[in-house]
Amino acid sequence: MSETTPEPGPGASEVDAPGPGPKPARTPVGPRIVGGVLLLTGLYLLWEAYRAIGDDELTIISPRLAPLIVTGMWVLFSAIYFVRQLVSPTADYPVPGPPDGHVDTEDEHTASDTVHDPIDWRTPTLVAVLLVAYVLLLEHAGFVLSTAAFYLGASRVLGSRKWIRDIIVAVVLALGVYLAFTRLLDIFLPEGVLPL
Amino acid sequence: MNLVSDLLGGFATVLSPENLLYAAIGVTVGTFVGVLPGIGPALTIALLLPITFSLDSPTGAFIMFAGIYYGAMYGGSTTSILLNTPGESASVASAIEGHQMARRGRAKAALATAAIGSFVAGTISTIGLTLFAEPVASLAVTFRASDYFALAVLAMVSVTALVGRSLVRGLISLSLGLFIGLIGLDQLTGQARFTWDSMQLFEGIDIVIVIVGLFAVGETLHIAARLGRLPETVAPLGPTGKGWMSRRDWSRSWRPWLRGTAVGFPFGALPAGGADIPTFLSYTYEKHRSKNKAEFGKGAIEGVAGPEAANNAAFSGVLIPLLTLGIPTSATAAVMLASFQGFDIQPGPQLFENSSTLVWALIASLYIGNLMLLVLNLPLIRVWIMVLKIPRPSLYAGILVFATLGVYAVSGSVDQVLIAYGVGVLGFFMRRYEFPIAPVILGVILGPMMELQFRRALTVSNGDMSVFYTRPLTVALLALAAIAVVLPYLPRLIAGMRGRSAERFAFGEDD
Repeated sequence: MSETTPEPGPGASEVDAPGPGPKPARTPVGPRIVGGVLLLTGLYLLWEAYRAIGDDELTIISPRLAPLIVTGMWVLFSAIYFVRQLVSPTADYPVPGPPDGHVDTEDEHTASDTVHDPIDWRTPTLVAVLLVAYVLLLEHAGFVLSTAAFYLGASRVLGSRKWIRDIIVAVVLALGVYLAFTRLLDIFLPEGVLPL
Repeated sequence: MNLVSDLLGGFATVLSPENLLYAAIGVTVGTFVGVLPGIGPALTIALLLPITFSLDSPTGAFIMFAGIYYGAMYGGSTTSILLNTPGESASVASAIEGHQMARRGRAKAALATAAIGSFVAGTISTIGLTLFAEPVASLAVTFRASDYFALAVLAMVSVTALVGRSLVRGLISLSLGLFIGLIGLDQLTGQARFTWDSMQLFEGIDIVIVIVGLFAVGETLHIAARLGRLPETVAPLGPTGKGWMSRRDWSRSWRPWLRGTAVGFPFGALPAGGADIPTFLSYTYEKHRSKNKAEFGKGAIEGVAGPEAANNAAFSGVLIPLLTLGIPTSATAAVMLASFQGFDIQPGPQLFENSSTLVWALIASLYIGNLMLLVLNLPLIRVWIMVLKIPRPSLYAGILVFATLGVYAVSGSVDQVLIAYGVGVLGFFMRRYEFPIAPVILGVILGPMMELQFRRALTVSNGDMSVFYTRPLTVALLALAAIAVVLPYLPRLIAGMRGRSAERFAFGEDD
């Protein structure tokens, strides 16, 4: 809809025109997967919404109407998105050229990452796993222990290599927050195994 | 005059030592959190919600909120200028010029014009809020359910259409938000929808959980995926001892401040707004009007002064639909609404009658918060630079701890924290594939409101759909919503007619 015509935006055509540019534009496969998953999820939810009507009469003020409309919108728009990704993915995600021409900075590309840049999937996955472990431990080991352990693990995964600094920060952070919340703000946090 | 005495009453409430302390804490904490790269005002308020909930009086909490909001916004522009990582869409415009100024050793002037411009704009637009809020509220008393329905449609559609690069992606985001808003028990009949018989889902998914998930967890995961490619170097402040702004800087700044305010406030006040459009309008205007056009892109002070003023003015404007109609038009306003509801206060036309002390205290604290920000921030700039230099691993590990803490403290439930993480993973993919976030937030909060008013209107009219097209106000609002969908294409259409290639500025929005 917005970019069905080839993007006349600044830069994009300049890169494509002179043969193979410095970064050959490969078709990103991610958006197609995203489109497919969105469409399938939408269809499932639409079916759920339809099934929920059951024997009720679907009137205009029925609570079953809104779910149908919303999931219908979902299916419609993700279908459009999916088809567009199949037809021409670069229309939706233009390959970045030199940004606007007037910005002459060398670190500019860092500010605007696009789907064309490769990313590291391992780190976010590890962070997500640590998060789940953290919250599952929270009520058993207590806030202080699990927070300190999570902080250490997460900063390590995110690239910190200074153990001593991290351990000090982890302990101070966990204890400080625990005491501030439970003693000053009267907000409950699980104390767990530590005798606090 | 009634207005003056109301406002003075507000000041009397705020100027107690205790409340002044809340305002100071709010400004400082807000700036501190706002300075952290990648954290915008909406998340700042969401993360600090548990702290304000523990205050006894809602008045104190809202005074703190006013401080937090202004602080978070100013912290965000500091980060944009010094690090070039705009924490919210509304700072994108000022990040362009501000960071270029900083790279050329003019960081102090950029920070100063942002701070003073914010103060000027904040003060003028708070005066606007003071003058217009109550009249709008008394007008809003006459609004019917169908008008509210149309207002909600307008707010949602315009934000979806005007923010971000692709309308389809915006609409998918909106559908996602509307879907999340549907989860739980139906407000009118109590029937379960999309709960899959899970008790945890019966109460629905709280907006705070959505915001913490999308902004804190989603952003951190997104950063974790690109660790090597983030801007790390904080631009130096420049020579010490010299003043903040030269005479020339002043003379180049004051007009953009006023123009930015003039654009920002009305746009924010429309139930279609948010701060993104006015900041960009202000940037474009200054760029085209400036005598120093060649400097744009290389650090033109007008390009910081105008958008910063517009940003700040828009916030006070956003408070008008929020306080008088109960309609939030930005993610931040949505969190504010959630916090109001946390104190059992329902913004809307009745607010000025039922909780007039609170409202006027809030408005008075906006004046105070603005002033405090100006007084505190420039002198404290070295502290904020230290915050900016916190190593990234420590920073983001800490943010995750606080996100978990925030959700757990509000909900007291491990399952809710897991839901927030799930939303965070969703947020990660949305960022990766450039789906805008703001429509999700507005969908979650406005969707149920819209459905409620829709059904209420039809119940009153006995199922007659004509209520939506016979009442002029409703029709006008729905027509505006339709225009909002077309509006982003206007520059291109006009430019096409003139035979020039269009330049459509798109925001990587985040607010």
